[in-house]
Amino acid sequence: MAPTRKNLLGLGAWTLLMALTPHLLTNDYYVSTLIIGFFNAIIVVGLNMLMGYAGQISLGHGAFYGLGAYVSGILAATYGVPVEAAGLIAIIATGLIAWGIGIPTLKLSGHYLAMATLGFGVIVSIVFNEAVETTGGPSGLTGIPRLTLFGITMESDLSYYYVTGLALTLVMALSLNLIQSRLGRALRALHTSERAAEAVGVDIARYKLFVFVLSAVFAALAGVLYAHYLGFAAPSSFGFHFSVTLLVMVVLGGMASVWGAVAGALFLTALPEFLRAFENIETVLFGGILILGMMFLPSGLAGGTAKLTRALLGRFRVGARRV
Amino acid sequence: MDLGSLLQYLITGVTVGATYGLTGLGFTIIFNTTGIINFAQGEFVMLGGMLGVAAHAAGVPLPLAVLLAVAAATLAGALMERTFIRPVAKASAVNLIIITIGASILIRGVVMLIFGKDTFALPHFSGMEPIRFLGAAMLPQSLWVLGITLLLLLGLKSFFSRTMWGRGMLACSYDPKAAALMGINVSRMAMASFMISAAVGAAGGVILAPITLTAYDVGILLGLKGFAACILGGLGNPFGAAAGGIILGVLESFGAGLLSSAYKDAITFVILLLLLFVRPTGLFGKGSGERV
Amino acid sequence: MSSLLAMRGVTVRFGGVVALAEVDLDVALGSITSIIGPNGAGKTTLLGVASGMVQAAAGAVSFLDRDVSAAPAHARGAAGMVRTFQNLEVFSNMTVLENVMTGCHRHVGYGVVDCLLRTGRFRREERRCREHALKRLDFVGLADKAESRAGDLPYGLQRRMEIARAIAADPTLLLLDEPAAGLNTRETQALGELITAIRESQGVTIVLVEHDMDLVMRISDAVMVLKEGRNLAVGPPEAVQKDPEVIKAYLGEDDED
Ligand SMILES: Nc1ncnc2c1ncn2[C@@H]1O[C@H](COP(=O)(O)OP(=O)(O)OP(=O)(O)O)[C@@H](O)[C@H]1O
Ligand SMILES: [Mg+2]
Repeated sequence: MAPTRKNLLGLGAWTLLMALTPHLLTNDYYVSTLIIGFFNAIIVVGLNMLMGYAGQISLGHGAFYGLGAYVSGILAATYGVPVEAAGLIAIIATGLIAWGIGIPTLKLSGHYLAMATLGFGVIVSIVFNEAVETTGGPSGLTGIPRLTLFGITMESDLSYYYVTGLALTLVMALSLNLIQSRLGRALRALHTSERAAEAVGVDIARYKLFVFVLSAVFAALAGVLYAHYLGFAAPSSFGFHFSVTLLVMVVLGGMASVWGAVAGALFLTALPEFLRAFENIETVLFGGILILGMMFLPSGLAGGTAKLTRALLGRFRVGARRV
Repeated sequence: MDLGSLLQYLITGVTVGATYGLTGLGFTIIFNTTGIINFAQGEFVMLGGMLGVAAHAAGVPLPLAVLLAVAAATLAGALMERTFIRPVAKASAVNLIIITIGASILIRGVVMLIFGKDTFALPHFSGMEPIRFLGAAMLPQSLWVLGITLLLLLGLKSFFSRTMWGRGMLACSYDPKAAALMGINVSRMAMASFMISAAVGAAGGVILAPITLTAYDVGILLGLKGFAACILGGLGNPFGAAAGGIILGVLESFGAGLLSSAYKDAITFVILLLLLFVRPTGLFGKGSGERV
Repeated sequence: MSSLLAMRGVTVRFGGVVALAEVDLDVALGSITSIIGPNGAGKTTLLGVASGMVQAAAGAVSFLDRDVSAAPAHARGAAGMVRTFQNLEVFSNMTVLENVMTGCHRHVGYGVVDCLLRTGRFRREERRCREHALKRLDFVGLADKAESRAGDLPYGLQRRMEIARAIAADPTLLLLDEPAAGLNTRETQALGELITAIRESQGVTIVLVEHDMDLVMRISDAVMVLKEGRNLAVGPPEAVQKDPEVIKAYLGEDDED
């Protein structure tokens, strides 16, 4: 099948690029920026499946990221649970929470869904801030041990880079597989017409819940990786502001494209590093991207470029025919 | 628990609730006319407070500063509709949500660039000498808040039922196509709805600013609470939203006093979620919610 | 003759409007049963109740001898009762082939894990689904449009694609809501042949809601006439055509026109 081959080629090229990049970079600092970018990309690929493919908005995914980070961090730092087990428990627990909250939430649509997910995110954020004895409160949870896999602790940034890069590649591969399947078609179908999807036997509530939980699990995975990388988790990293940043990444990357999601996440993670000189301009810029993106490029950078190419080619072809 | 402190909670709750109510009212006015939920509503409230502070700091006498702040926010509302909303009037709900979120971030960012991240206070309109009765104390500012809220509500009520503009806006909400056929300029009505809700929101922000202080980022929580207020009152019902705001303010104030002040803000959102799950049409609404 | 679909005493209200009042419908296995009636008679609503998308205030629906009154819409779809829509409901952001492959949903037999990991079973099933969808596209004459974006198809072809999507589900019962709406005479003629062919070659029982009388009288085994939510007449096309009540209803409508 042609699309499959394209995906395989794409993933191959991506893996190669990902593996080589650290050796091309001159500054170790860039490696740590890329690691953070990978965390974000893992979340955004999932969120993009929820929003871009299935058409269900969430303004609360920062909370799932935070739940992954805090649950794993608390288990490992406070209770001395081995990191692998703590991470696994955190991901499963977050998935279960998403499942529980998703059942009533996904019955809503449009503004109601947006506000309900937003409300959920704010509540979780308040708990992170106020449950001081467990979470460390506003100043954060400290002393989270570094990630250990199969007895090897990922001490160096380079090893962490490869672990995270591998996780992202896996998430991308799974998502690409999912999209071109019965499940992916069902998700895209219910995006356009819930009634027509039901008419051919698609249980829309189940599929919405599935993609919601999947995206929460991806976010939790990113959260676990985050906590055991920085050794620290503070509520401000997982609040409303971060949920909106995720939204900007999805929009910029173009709804409904896995590659776009990764590009959007990496670009927006790196951007503030370049904007250091004008520290506070980031907020204005994000607002501008959201508005302009939705007004002029609803299919994002990836889609916009594709559309432009098609338009140019189309003009060329028409021109050729006329000649 | 003595009567005095209960009364105190009630006063605090109603005062803050009035602003939630005005914010909710703003949501409702835009929603009724255009079908859009304006995620930037909270920023209008923030603009009211911040611009009031700025004008006053620049030497403008307080009453004039208040008016100026409301006028400037109204202009911002008009500008937002004109530049961001009108060109994409037919976009899907999700796209419109994202655009209004973008507008809210933009407004917040610009205010932060200009005024910084500090917290500001506006002087009380008529002194800070509390009025004491039955063991409770009430700031004169609370009276201002309640009085102005009441005046705004009455004014809007007669605007929507008496004036041509008001009726035209209501007609848009029932059936925009029919309204257009009747010669109503639907896009002008949409602009008017943004201006009125910006004005109402900013008024709520500037009258509350002396009590709760203000900063570039107060709009997020206020916006959410305003939305909770209008869900509580039934989306689309302006006076339900006002009532919903006051109920929320009171619940929050009692919750903070009697249960836990740390989770004060969570109370509103738990109520919001429960309402959305169980009764998305609100306490006073009827019919079905948007569950299509 | 056993009925494949039986509806008893179906009543639907929208606010104050009574859209259907105590309507009965029996659809014989293997038949083409048409529902006709003036605008607003309740035809679409009746299909909605059958397919589980409209809540009935009273009445019962049984399909394949099972009471499905409480079954959700997707369960009825999965059980083999598939419908099309009067106002096209095309998955416009997908290709024509993907639209029709979505129609195969109930037949594709693999789970989440198969699909995340692309197992052999996944690939086998997916290839089967694709071939099946292509066959159905060919059947409705859209094979050459498989890779087009569905939203870009002209109206008439979108209607055909919707039918292809529905029959890709290999339904036992196919509910068609005004498939000829917006088609010209020649296209309508071809549609009639397509509908008969679906019945003949796939043994699908069909319920057809249609305004085009020629089409209805030509291909139906039974016709039911609805007016203002009430059952006016039911029987073979010739009998219904001669029914004085029906003539009056239709002449009455003509007068208004
Ligand atoms: N969702 C709804 N809400 C309110 N009223 C409705 C709804 N759907 C249908 N109706 C009303 O129910 C009645 C029957 O409508 P229905 O669409 O079933 O008629 P129909 O026979 O399919 O008409 P047409 O030939 O125009 O398609 C009409 O009076 C219509 O206005
Ligand atoms: Mg109809």
